Order: sequence, then C-alpha cells, then structure tokens
Amino acid sequence: MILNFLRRVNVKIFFIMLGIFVPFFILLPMTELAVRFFEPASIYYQTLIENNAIWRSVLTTIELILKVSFISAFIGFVSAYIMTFYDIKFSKVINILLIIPLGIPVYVAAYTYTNIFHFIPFLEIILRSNFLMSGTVFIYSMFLYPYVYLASKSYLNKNMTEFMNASKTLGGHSLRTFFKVILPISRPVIIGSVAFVLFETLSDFAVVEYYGVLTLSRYINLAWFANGDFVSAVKFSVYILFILFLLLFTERMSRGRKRYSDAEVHHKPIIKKTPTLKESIGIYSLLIFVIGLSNVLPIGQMIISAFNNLDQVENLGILSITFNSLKITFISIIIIVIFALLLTTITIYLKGFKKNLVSSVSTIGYMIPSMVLALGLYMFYIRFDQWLYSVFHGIGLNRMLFTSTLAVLIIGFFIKFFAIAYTNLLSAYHKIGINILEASETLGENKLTTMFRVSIPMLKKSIIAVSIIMFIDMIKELTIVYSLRPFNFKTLSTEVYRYAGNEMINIAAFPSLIIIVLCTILIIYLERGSKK
Amino acid sequence: MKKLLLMMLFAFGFFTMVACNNNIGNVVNVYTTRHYDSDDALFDDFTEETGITVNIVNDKAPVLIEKIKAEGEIPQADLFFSADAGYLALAKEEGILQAITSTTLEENIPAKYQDVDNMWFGLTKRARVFLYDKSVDPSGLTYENVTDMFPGEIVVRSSSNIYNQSLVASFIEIKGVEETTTWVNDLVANMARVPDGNDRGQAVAVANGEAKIAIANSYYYGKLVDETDTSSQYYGVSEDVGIYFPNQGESDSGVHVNVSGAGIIKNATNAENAQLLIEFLSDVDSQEAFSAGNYEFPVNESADPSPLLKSWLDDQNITELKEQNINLSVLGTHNEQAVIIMTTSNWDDPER
Repeated sequence: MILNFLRRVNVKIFFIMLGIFVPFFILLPMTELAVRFFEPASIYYQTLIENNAIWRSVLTTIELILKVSFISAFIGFVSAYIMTFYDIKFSKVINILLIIPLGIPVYVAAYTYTNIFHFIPFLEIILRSNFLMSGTVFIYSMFLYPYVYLASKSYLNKNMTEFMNASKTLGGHSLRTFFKVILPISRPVIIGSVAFVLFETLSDFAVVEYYGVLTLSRYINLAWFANGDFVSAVKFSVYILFILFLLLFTERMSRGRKRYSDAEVHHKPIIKKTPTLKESIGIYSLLIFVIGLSNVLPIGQMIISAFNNLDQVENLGILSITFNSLKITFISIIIIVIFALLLTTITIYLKGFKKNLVSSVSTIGYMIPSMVLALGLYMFYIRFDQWLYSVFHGIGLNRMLFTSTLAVLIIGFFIKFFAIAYTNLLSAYHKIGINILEASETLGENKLTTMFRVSIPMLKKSIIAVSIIMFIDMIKELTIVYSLRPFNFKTLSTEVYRYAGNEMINIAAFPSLIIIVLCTILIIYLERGSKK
Repeated sequence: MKKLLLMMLFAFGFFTMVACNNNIGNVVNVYTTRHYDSDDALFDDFTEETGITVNIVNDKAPVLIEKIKAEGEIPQADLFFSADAGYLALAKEEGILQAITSTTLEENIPAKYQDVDNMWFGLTKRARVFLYDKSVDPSGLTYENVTDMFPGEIVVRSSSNIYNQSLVASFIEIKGVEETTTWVNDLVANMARVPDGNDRGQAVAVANGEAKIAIANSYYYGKLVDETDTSSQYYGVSEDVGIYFPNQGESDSGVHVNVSGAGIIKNATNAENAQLLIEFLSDVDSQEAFSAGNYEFPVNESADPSPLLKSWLDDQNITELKEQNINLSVLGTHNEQAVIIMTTSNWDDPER
C-alpha cells in the first residue's frame, strides 16, 4: 500500500525539494554565525592580536593537529594492520578493546588521567613532555585513534589480499609490502578517518583548558564562556575552519590526480600469518601499550572511583539520566538516518558542482565547534519561536515550541551529526553502484521505491554500523546537550560534566562508566555483526 | 520495510509526546550557573514548603545571559542565579533583570551584598584565599607581598577562571589599572608552572612540592578537607596544605570576597514565585545549609558559618573577616579590563 503510494509520488519534485531543503535547513542557523563574524572586533580580540597571541595560537593549533594526526594514524592503522594480517591470540577480545576508547569522552580521559598521574608518578613524563604538548596530544591520540582503526580495518579486510599476494610474488617482504603497497593505497581511508579525529579534537576545549595549552579552541572557550564575547568566538571558529580546509586541500593537492578506486571484484579471504618471535614481541608490546593506556588504566581508575563513591550514586538518578540520554540519541538517529538515506539517494543521481555543493553543505555541521554552533542555533530558533508564538498564541500555543522542548536539541544533533551518516552512507551507496539502481528503474520502480526496495536492504549493514557510530558520538556529546536542553533535563554526559566541572571527577566516574558500557555493548554487536 | 515505518511512527509519536510535556503551573524556572547537589536539596525543601516546583537549567553565565537577551519579552526563565557578582552586574547592565522590593531580603541581606538598585541579591560568599604548604609560615601574607615572601613558588589556575578575573577586577577598583598591571606582571613572573588544572589541582601541586602557595577559592578547601575517597588525588591533601585568609592586617585592603546571587528576570511569568525562592534562600536555615553543604559563608548575619569554616577563622585568630571594601558590582564593570591585563601579562603562558 505504502509502496503503491510512493510509486505515485512525483519523485523528481520531491527530490528537488528535499535536496534543497536539507542543506538549507543545516545552513540556515549558520547565518546567525555569519552575521556575527562581521561584527566589529572586541577590545579583547584586539588585545590578542596586538600580543600576537592569535598567531601563536594558530601555530599551536597546527602543531597539535599535526601531532594528533600522525600519532592517531600510526596507532589506528598499525593496529588495524596487525589485527587484519596476523594470527593473534585473543584477537576477538583485543579487537573490542582497541575500539572501546571511542566510548570514553576525551574530557573524562583527561580528568581521569590526573588521578592516574597522581598514583603512578612515573607516567607524569607524559604531562611534562613538550613533544606531547603537556599531555594533550597523548589524550586526543589515545582516545580518538579508534576512528582510524575502525575505518582502516574494514578497508584492509576488503581490499588487500590481491595486493599483498602480488607484492609477495614480486619478492617484497612484509615490512616492504607495508610501506610500499599497503600504506600508500590506504592513504585516502587514513586521511578520511583522521579528519574525524581532528574535528573531534578541535571541537573540544576541556582538555586543552585542563592541561593549559593555548589552542584556538581554548580561545573560543576563553572568549565565549569566560568573557561572554561571542563575536570573537565566532571569529576563532572561522580560523579553525580555515585551517581544516587548508589541511584537507593540501592533502588533496599532494594526492594529485591519483584515484584509488575499488573495483567490485570478489576478494579472496585473507590468510592470516603467524607472527615470528621478533614480530610477536613488537606486536604484543604495541598492543599492551595501547590497550593499557587507553583502556585498562582509565577504566580501572573509574571503577575504583565508582566503588569508593557508591554512597553518592543515589543522588545521580542514574535510571532517569540514562533514559534521557537514550531518548535523545534514538530519536536523533532515526531522524538522521531517514534524511541521510533520502539525501544520499539524491546525491547519487547528481553530478559535478551540484553534487559537491550538496555534499559539502551537508557535512559542514560537524566541522563547526559545538559551543559556537549551539548558540547560533539557539539564537536562530528563539527568533523563530517568538514569531510562531506571536502568530499562534491566539489559538492555544502557550510556549516556545522549539526552544523550550527537546526539538532544538534534536535539531542540534541533526546538524552536528548528519555528516557522519551522510558521508558513510554515501560511500556505501557508491559501492552498490548505480547500475543496480538503474536496473530497478528499468523494471518499473521509481527512484523512491528503488530506494526502499533495493538500496535500503543492500545498505542495511551500513545503516546499522553508522547508527552505532552516531550513538557513540551522541551519547558522549556534551556541549550541544548542555546548551540546548530544556528545563530539568539531565543526561549522562551533562552529569559527568557537572561533577567534573565541580572538581568531583570521582563521582563523575559512575555515569562515565555507563556511557562506556553502553558503547561497549554496541561495539561488540557491531563487530560480531560484521563477522557474519 | 514495515519495521522501518513503524519505527518512524514511533519516533514521531514520542516526539510529540515529549513536546507536549510542559512546565506550566505553580512553578519557578531557574537559569543557574551553580551546579551543586546542595542547591538541588534546598530547591527540594522549597518545593516541599511552598508547593512550587523548581525547574532548572544550568549552564555557563554568558550562555544564560545571551539566552535571556534573545528571549526578550517572553523569557523562559524567572530567576537568574550566578556564582559570581561580576555576571550579576553584567546581567543588570544588559537590562535583563527587574528590581525587587522585599522587606525580607532587606532584613536578611546586608546592603553591601545587594545591588544598589535591588536588581540582584547576594546569597552566599566565598573568599579567594591562599592555600599554603604547612611547612612554611604564612603569617602576615598579603596578595601584595606574596611574590616577595615566596618568589617563584606560586600556582594558580588559568585566566579563564571567573574568580581570578574578579580578583584582578577588584584590584583595579582598589588600586587602579597601572598598579594592578604591575601586580599581575609580578605574579605571573613568580608562577611556579603554567596554569593548569582546577582549584583543587592547585592544592595538589602544593602538596606535591611543586609550589609553596596556591591561590584558590575557600570553598574548594572545604571539599579537600572532607574528601573521603582514598582513590582520589585530593585525598589527604589538606593534611599538608593549610588555608590562609590574606590581607587581614590593619592597613591591609582585606580578603577578596565574591558572592553568588540571584535576580528576577524582566517580564518573568512567575516573578512572585521567583521572589519567594530568593527569600527562602536568604533565611537562616537555608544560609546555614549553604555553609554546611557547600562550604560557603552565609551573607545573612544571623546565620552561623559551619563549624569547619569557623575553625579556619579561629586558627588565624580572626573574629571578623576583613573583606575588601568595594561594591561588588564593580567586578562586572572592570571585568574586561581585568581580562586584558591578564592576557597582556601572559597569565596563561608565563614562561614567555
């Protein structure tokens, strides 16, 4: 019945409207930011310019993101390589453990580590290290590398056997194969996932503040949260965007015209290699190092803290805050997935400039620092709300429709996380190939029914995977929830932040652990699902 | 397919359900920058006593002020509750508060903790004190002579911290811009490390021997003393670190004190309830609860500080704490200048 209805829909008009609406919807609140950007600079901003503070901070930011990129790429990719090509004991458990840090918010990691430093003083070299920029590089790399790990692993699993075999036949030994074949061919995947690491790094201000490093994110925080100077905060965000674009552009230029396409051939299964003794030592020490620092120590510390503060648990209202977290994540994920499916379907049929425009606009939300995005959104929707109120007050509208409900928060999630669903589903879509879709149309389906009958079933796995990744990102997300929630609305992350901000990180351990447990369950599900 | 549609339906049903739950009725809506369990407990007491439900959103003060400004004629909140007088002054300056006429508040709260136009009332006090390594003698320590007494031995958190900004702002009021700049430069030159961590983290640095003196908020010291979690880095720190209220000498300017306070938002729907809540928080019981639960000094002179807070004063033989003689509204007036002085002196990057 529904399909029959969809068959009658004028797909072209529907798609054109939606293709304009979604990017427009994402872009609209940004107008608020654009307007602020051109407002005159405050005295604070001028002082920072006069002191060369901004210039230094730009350099610090670049240093930070370069270091975080290289270290997270190294850890993520090398461990993905090991897990893909070597026969490792307990590989299932190790695999999960390598992903779990994704469920630990970076600010929680930073706060927890000060406790760890206290009890294992020798680790304080991390905090004192100039190279690690007072520990910030360590925290971001250690807790964000799983983005690289996940992407690399799924890529290596699918695409490498032929290349490995070819290289071996030509006499390359494993190290040579790694550097000459695997690394270069995986470059787009590494860069793509490192970009996500960087967006997360630049969206965070708590770690740099806590460890005392003056990056641009820190100045956004200083300007806005400490001095109430929103205009300067917007200006700094634009600097960050500029740096990001510059980096991605440089990378694209250096890649040149090389294209790495993945012809849809049937890949041979990977034959895992038993590591030699020498290799074993290297492999296991790396794994122990990574898992120890990103898993065992912080989670161990949190468990101890949680046990020592069991008497505080009743104040937390764990059930209700967990329910709230789940509620907003589920609603947002469903809405995002629906719109991402529709928009990717549209994008698939687009070409050239229009395609680029739709894709870049749809992903911009993820790049804008959350603290700036949140206020821009609020300003925009409160104006909209007031207009609605003045128009509909007479017929019973007795409150702000968006800003006093969860609506504005869910819109915030939509704008922030749409990029994740969109980019991932788009790349999955490209793998299906347009031929199948055209075949379906030849058989009398329109583009919309094709989406339901062909694409969605084929994309099912990607949809689940993307939903899980979004879940992990959303349940950790703090700034947007904190600034856009309605009255009395507490979630796991807001409570973590409330206690951590009040210098009671040990009590924050409990909600933090729930976040980690929920994420771990989903990670296990994701990993077991992908094996089938 | 059907499953997906069902899920969509479910989502929208849920969504509308959520959108319809509303806060209208006998309520007071509070925008607060304070995030303490002790506040929540007091709000619960208020509800029990009056039947008025307290709805809360907490966020950073600038965010809340911008939100109230944007909400304009139809504000969503009735009460603005902030942990810093500077922000209260800013809220007044932005024109988002309304004057309160209340004999109860006039009786309970001394004039120096009120706004001159009664736009806001202070409810609790904290002092910006020195936490010192117990192996040294802090006698006679002042904000001014600390760099001479303990050169290169001072730790303090970053310039983004509002309490530091307000400390510098109070100096601008007392000494003027030039002298304050010299003082800040001197302090920065004597910092033992790049400012990082939180207030309690500064005390940990002293306990670890990284410095002799930390500048911190008095109420965090209370939290240190009462830390029972043995797995916490804060546990036992107060054994090695003491609290000292500076500038108590006859010719000294007095210790820097800041207040948490509240004001009623202009055009508030539930202004009467908001006033009832402020009055409730100013009475002796609530004031003593703030002191016992959150280590803050009461502003109501009939209320006693908790035994712990009193013991700190006794240890220093203080019968009446000498406070800076300034109108707290100036913390807002001088805030921008304070930030600029701290920025130009490289507060957050002292090695430069």
